[in-house]
Amino acid sequence: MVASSTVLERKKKKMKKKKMKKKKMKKMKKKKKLYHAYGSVDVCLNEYHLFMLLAGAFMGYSHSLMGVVQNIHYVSFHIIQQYKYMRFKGSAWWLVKCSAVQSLYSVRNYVILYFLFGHIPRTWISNTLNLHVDSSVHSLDSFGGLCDVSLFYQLWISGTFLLLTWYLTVLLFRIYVTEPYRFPVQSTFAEDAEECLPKVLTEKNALVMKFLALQDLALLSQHSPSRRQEVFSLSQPGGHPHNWNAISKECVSLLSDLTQRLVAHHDAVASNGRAKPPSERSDARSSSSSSSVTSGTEDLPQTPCRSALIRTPGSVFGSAVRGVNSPLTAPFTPDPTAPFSSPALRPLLSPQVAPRSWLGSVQSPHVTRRNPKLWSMSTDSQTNGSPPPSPDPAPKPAGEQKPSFLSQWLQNRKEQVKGFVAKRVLVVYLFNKLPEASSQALFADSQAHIWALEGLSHLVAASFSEDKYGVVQTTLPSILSSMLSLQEAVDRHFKLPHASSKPAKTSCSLGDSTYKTLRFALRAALKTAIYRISTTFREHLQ
Amino acid sequence: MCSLALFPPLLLSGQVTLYEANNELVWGNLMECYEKQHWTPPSLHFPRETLKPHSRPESSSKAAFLDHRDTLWMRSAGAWRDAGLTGLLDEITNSSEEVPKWLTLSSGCVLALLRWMSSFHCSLFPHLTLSGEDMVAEFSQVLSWSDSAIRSFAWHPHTDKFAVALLDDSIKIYNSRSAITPTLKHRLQRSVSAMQWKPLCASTLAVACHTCLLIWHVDPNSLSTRPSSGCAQVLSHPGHSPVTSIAWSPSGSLLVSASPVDTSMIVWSVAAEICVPLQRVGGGGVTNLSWSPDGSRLLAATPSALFRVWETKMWTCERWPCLKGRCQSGCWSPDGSRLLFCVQGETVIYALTFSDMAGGPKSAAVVADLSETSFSGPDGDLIVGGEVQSLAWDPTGERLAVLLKGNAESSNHSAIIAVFKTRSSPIFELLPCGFVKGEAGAEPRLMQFQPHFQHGALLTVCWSNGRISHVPFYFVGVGKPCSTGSPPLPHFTSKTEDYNTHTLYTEQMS
Repeated sequence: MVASSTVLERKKKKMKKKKMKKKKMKKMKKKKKLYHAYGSVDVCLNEYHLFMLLAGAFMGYSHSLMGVVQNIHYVSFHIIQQYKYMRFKGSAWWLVKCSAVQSLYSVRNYVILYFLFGHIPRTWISNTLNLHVDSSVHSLDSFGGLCDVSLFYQLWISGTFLLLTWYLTVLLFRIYVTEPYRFPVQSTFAEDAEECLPKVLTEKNALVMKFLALQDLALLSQHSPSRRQEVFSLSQPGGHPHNWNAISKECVSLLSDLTQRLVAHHDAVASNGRAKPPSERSDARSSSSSSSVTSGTEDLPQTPCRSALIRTPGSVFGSAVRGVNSPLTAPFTPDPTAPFSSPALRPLLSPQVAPRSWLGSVQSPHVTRRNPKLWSMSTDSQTNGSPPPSPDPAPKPAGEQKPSFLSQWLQNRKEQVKGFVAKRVLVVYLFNKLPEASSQALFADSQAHIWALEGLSHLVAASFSEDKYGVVQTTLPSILSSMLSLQEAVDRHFKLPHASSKPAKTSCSLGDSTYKTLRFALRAALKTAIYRISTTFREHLQ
Repeated sequence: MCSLALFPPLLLSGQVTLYEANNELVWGNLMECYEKQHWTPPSLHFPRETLKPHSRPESSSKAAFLDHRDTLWMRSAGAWRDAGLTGLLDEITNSSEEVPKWLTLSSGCVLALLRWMSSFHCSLFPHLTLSGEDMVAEFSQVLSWSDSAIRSFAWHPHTDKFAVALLDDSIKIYNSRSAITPTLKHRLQRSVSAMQWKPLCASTLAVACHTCLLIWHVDPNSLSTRPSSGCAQVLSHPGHSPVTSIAWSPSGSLLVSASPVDTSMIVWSVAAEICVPLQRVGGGGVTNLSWSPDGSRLLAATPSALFRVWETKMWTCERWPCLKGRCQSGCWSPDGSRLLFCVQGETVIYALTFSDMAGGPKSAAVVADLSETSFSGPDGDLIVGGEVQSLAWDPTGERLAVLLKGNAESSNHSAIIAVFKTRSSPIFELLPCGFVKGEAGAEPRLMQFQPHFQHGALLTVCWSNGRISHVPFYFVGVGKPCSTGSPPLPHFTSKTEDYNTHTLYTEQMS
């Protein structure tokens, strides 16, 4: 018992959130202590117990690893609205199946791992605690010991429950957080004005509010004529269409923003869809694209979060970092603040990717000067985990004023090594971003744009018959021109080599890969929106 | 109440219905067809003999090879791959000399249990015993789908363009503005049961195939006559085949597909390839889908005597148990407030009226009785009436076409299309218009109204001899004033008619 309790103590650090798992483990501890032949109460190592505990730890690790790899923290909105119970019911069975299969895989991996390296923890624990190993029982890292069906069954069933609990949390979180919320379009009292739709749409600090407001806008424009009427209404003293103006202005600015981003990206990449090599890039940066690029990025409306997010090369678990800073903004856009790094690849390749990503690469001195804190943080966190010959120029520490000769020399050598390594094909292949990843990242928060397009186009189409005062007509030209320019930019973007390649389907995992196809959804929604306006107005447009 | 007796009688058998003008149908010979009609989209002819149906390689070519005995292990793996668990068990049971006796016995027992359970399941839902092709033929809106030369037909909602699916699993697209007719072929495009163009889009066509959904992106400006299969997007979901019906939402954002085998219908966001299954177990599958033109409701018929009406805001459904049989076909009025449907085994058309205020209808009202009626003609009596194969309501809500099944055995009771005039405001009314009849010996198989015909309604009919003809109905709609942009029609004099003598159904009656 002493042994097992100390083992528990040790494992507690490893397993962070798995209290209930431990309960299950305790239940399974059926094997009794063995008494030594000499009569004195001597304690032996209960290897089954150790096996189970390690299995729990392994499953926890593999679950968190898979969560990072598969982007479990990414929450996508449903394509149709359903009641919460129905949504839960719809995916409950799939959840059980998914966790059973996942648990099977992780049991297999764990058993292989234990078979190979199982003697290490066993001897370590028995040595440090001075425990005996009972030689009469098969040790578990042998074939004989592992041929135990009930052990496997216990492992599998407990793993299934464990995964099911975690997945349930994720599912319920997703269902609740993406539930449509109904914002009032206008309120009679001035103190509620902050909660009204036009105000919330311009929300910058909590992206989740903005997303919910856009979703609500898209829904109201399709389904509720009475709320549409409120949007088209005039303000009581003055007779200004404040509601419509605010809504359309916000939506149009969203769209033009995406257009700018796309144009900037198109200017920045070479014709083969990859980021330009550093030499070209530096030329381009110095001459023309610097201005356009920086303007494209500096005008992003997500600036509040941008400063919050540390674009550190070492932030492997980006979700954790983001979770601290802005707990609710992160999930919807896989990476709202660094739009040019792929959410899927970032965690894997982050030490290299983050600075290499196109946005990071244009951290020209004046940009650096603007956010000195950002980079001073990044320099000290850069070392962890990344192999020294990283194939990209190291971010210059901003605080460094006058480097000594030695450090200058070292710096030069480092640059040379990096330049050498960067030219090797394999290294580039492994550590460079995949070309379609940049395209995915460009459209990472496109759900907002899709809703803006749907909401705008439905409202404009409805205004044909419902808008009594003609408030929509004044903004119709700007809406149409922004949609058309976005269409042009999107068409140009899809001409890039890797932009129109479809991702492969993933089979049984909870990870949401919706962000990979958002750009196609945006393209379709944009076309539909333009057609909707033009078929409604038809000859009146000429 | 027999509605068909009030119809104008059928004329000589040599004549075909050409068009409707001045409130009556004009008949004529086939020869003068083209002079009398004012404008026609191309009338096409696909003779049945020129089309070679797809032959199944797995059933036909097996006999050509010699039998070869693999090892048990290989055979079991093959059986598992081809036929799943039952195949594996069957294989083990049949090779009793190679496996131990207890294994043979136990697998035989499990197999018997499985068969018993599946037969129990099939006795609940008899349609599950049908093979894929038979199932499509059973639930298709096309009359005798399996030997029809034209499998499916789809007008584009905004332009003068239509797609025709043929017996040889190819799809041809005809466009009024170009002579190029692209032919779409794909490896997975087998036994096409339904097609629909995406609304608010120029070029996207959804095709319901045997195993999957295909989304073709056919660029209207392309000069290619054979778009590659790279233009097609394949959407499939395990357990969701054969797909017998698809419906685009009128806003163009969602696509719903249904299969009689799958109890859930699937809502697709096509561009993103995301699907959401909406499962309701009762009914044993979904056969037919129809989205109301305003996008607020969706009719989903099942193989049992039950259909559902989904509202599309929160995706909840109302159950409508029918009395006699399954819902064969349904159509929506243009404002989406009224649903007409017909039930297999009954010769009546029902109507359901939905309104946002009252919380939905309580029961369906019978609006038309289509029981068999005989018309005496020069060459013997003609019997008209019977069960309904499909319903179609024109987009202005003024004409309702009903495809009556007829009786295949008797020669004087063939399938025919009856056309009703309808009015929805101020009250719902149904008036007789006439019969649409083709050449001698040709049965109508499939019909569809063109979505944007300017002078009234245009009904496209596909006949059993492979001909596609277009029957225009010239009238001035109630709701819409005479369009100024379109050229005025010759000899279109408005004639007053007495509605009241012939009214078949008004809401006041009920």
